Amino acid sequence: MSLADESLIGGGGFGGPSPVSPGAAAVILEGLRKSYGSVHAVRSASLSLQAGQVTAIVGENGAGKSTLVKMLAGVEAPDGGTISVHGKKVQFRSARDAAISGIGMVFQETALVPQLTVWENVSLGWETSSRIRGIDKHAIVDRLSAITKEYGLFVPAERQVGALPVSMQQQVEILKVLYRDAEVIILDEPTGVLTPQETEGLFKAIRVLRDAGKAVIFISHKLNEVLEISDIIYVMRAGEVVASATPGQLAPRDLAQLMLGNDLPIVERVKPEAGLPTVLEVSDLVCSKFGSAEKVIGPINLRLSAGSVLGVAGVAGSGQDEFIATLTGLRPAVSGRIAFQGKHSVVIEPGPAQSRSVRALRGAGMAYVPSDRGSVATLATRPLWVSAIAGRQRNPRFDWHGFVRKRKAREFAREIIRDGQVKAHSVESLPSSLSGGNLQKFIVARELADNPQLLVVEEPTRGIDVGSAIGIRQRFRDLASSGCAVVVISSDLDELMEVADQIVVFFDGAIVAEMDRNDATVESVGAAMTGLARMGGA
Amino acid sequence: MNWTLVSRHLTRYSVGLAIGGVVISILLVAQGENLGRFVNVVLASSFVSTDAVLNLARWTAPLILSSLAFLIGARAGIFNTGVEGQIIVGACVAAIVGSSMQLPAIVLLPITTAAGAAAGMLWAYPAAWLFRRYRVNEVVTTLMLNYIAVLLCNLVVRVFFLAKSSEGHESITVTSRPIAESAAYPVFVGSSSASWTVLATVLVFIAGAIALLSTRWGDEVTAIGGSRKFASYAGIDARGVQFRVFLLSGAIGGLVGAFEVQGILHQFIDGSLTNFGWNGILGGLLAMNHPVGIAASSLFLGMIQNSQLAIQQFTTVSPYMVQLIAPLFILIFAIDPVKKAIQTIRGRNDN
Repeated sequence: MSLADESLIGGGGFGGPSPVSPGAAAVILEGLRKSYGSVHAVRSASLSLQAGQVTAIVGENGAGKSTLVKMLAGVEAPDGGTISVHGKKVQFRSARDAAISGIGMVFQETALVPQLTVWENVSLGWETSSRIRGIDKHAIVDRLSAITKEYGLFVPAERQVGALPVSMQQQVEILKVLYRDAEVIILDEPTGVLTPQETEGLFKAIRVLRDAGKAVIFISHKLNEVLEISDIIYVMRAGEVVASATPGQLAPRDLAQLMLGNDLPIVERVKPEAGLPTVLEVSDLVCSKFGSAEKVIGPINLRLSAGSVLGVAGVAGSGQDEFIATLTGLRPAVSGRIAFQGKHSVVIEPGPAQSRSVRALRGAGMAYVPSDRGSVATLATRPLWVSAIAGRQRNPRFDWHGFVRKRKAREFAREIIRDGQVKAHSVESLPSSLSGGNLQKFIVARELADNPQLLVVEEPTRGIDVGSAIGIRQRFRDLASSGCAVVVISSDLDELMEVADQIVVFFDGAIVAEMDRNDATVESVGAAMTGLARMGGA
Repeated sequence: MNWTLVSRHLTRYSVGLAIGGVVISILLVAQGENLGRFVNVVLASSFVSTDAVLNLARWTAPLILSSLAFLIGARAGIFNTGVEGQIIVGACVAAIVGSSMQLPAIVLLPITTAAGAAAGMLWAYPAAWLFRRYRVNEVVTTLMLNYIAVLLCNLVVRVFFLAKSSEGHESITVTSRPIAESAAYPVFVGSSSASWTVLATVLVFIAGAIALLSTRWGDEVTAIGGSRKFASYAGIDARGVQFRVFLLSGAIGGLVGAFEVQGILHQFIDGSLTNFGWNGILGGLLAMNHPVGIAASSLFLGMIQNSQLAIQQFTTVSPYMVQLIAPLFILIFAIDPVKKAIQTIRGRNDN
């Protein structure tokens, strides 16, 4: 591709789709650099964006994708290099500057005001107003409906944003960008929060945008999505653009290889033996919903035998989080019981005293890797070794008549770091100084240190690069083959398909589907997640 | 020992102290004071003789304890603004118990002290209970209990325990009957006001510091303060521990009051304990939540308090100026740009 091709796209002005000659570079990035202290986030990245194309940027965590697009969106100031829009060099001092030049970004975490309506959110900061009459709602809503009609988006202008589902909120974010006449639309990990069906909807919208002549940048960890939606793929590694390709040439594994720079292992699975004893039995368990004493989850019935992996799927807020909190002893049950046959048997029944439940379950061989690595699984404000003995602080190995055996704790932390192949400066480093993937390796290694009988894992590889993710999943499979029962909760269906033997799906506070891994497909699980297919007689 | 962290803290302190020193110098010079003479007066009142040092100890000791009371709570994520009230209630109850019984010192001394500590704990109880049961903001409850403490203690002393002169006239100020001699801690030497409570304070402080820094309990407390979710995840009864720490914080506050009455005042005098609790919060904040830091910050604040009289006598500086020094330092330590500046200076980049 020629970076010299700087012809302007058709002079149709901002806003509406204008006929575009293919191959016209809307935006060119040349030699962009950015470092944070001694870390070179982006070393020297050059790429060009074409109007009417979906450009994907893939790469491992820390490869510099997000930093690169943040520089384009005016959120971060580059240390060097140039950005040209339509052949004109620009310098953005703020996201607003970038927006005025027609570049808009849809962030990972939606940046909306939940109390305001859709039209208020969209026009916030860009209101059409006059001094006398204030904000001109009519003009805004008219323009909004023109945009929604043009791009085939369905967003009710008068609804309060907080009441909309996540996928709709994301459309509001996109609408916000379109409202500002963006010609370049950056989507940073947009599918992370969506179900497969919602993802399909988003892709439809992206295609409409592309056909309308917008340049779309798509950043995702999910390689098959990238291959499905993009016209051109740039691969970043260690802050540099190392390759570009078109989807037709590649399979997901090829792409992963480009990202990692070496061969990608696959998760090997051994089929669990039949007839192993039951480790976990959940009977008629009812728990209360977060933030509400009246709404309940359940009744839940489950049985899990040693050596098998149970996958738990569900759209956020369907009750799986409450179930896990109860299962791990952190939340009291309303009724029903949980029986865990570990090193000895533990029965959790309704009642307070959660700390005792947690200790009893841990003592019997339950391990738990929560999704929140920074404030639940580790203590951000104390050195790593403190987090290393979390849950084991009463173990005589680390406790001498109430005094902490710090030397033993540090030793143990070093063991974990070695066994888990964690990249950490020392056991005195703060957990926040580790990258997400390394921190997760640390947590997983810690939880697996005592050969658990039951492992509960939430979102084990969220935000973690492909290479480390496969390593982590492989550990779960290995653990299962050694006789441990594993419960994996994940919003990544591909991950569930990769590690689970059975999959249960939560919807609206109950288990609506229970399937064998071999019978399940991403589509069938996705359908159950949205309540389209209630199975199992529910 | 984490030396990187230690050196980072030391740098932060020195830079903060330097900035604070400059600001205070400017204020002093603006008031027409000779800097050298001011420093001389401050240091002389605390270090020039044995008596001076003992007086410094007398002022530092209650600050150490009230800082510890605040800090133990703060480590567990509780912002106990009620140390002030807990001290007053502790002092009041110690004065009542110490003046109501005639027992040998070996019995009365500990009973009086324990009564003061228990009273402080009891005074923290409503706030602690509300915090545990309904998560009512402890800043509000403890703050309000401070006012009730002052007024209630005055009322009780005025109605039931008011001091009488030898002619039988009732005192016009709110002053309780003096405690029995056997309830008072003797002073070290007659020429200074430092009593054996100073030694007791040091012991309590050492015990507290060890408990916080080296025991499982201390680690659990710190874990709760750092992240309640992490603590629960690790199987710690976060609510229960917080509740008990809250009460302990109140008990230490009560202890300050009891020590003041038994060691110095020998009776409850309205207004004589004002600001002990607040200065403890200052001390705890200056110590940046670290028990060892308390020793330093209390010495610093104690030195200021100890020199207050001398400053008024020998310099032209307004007495309000003296009270300004400690909060000024807190402000400087709390300002984020200073923290950031120090971090940039050190080129810190853990990521």
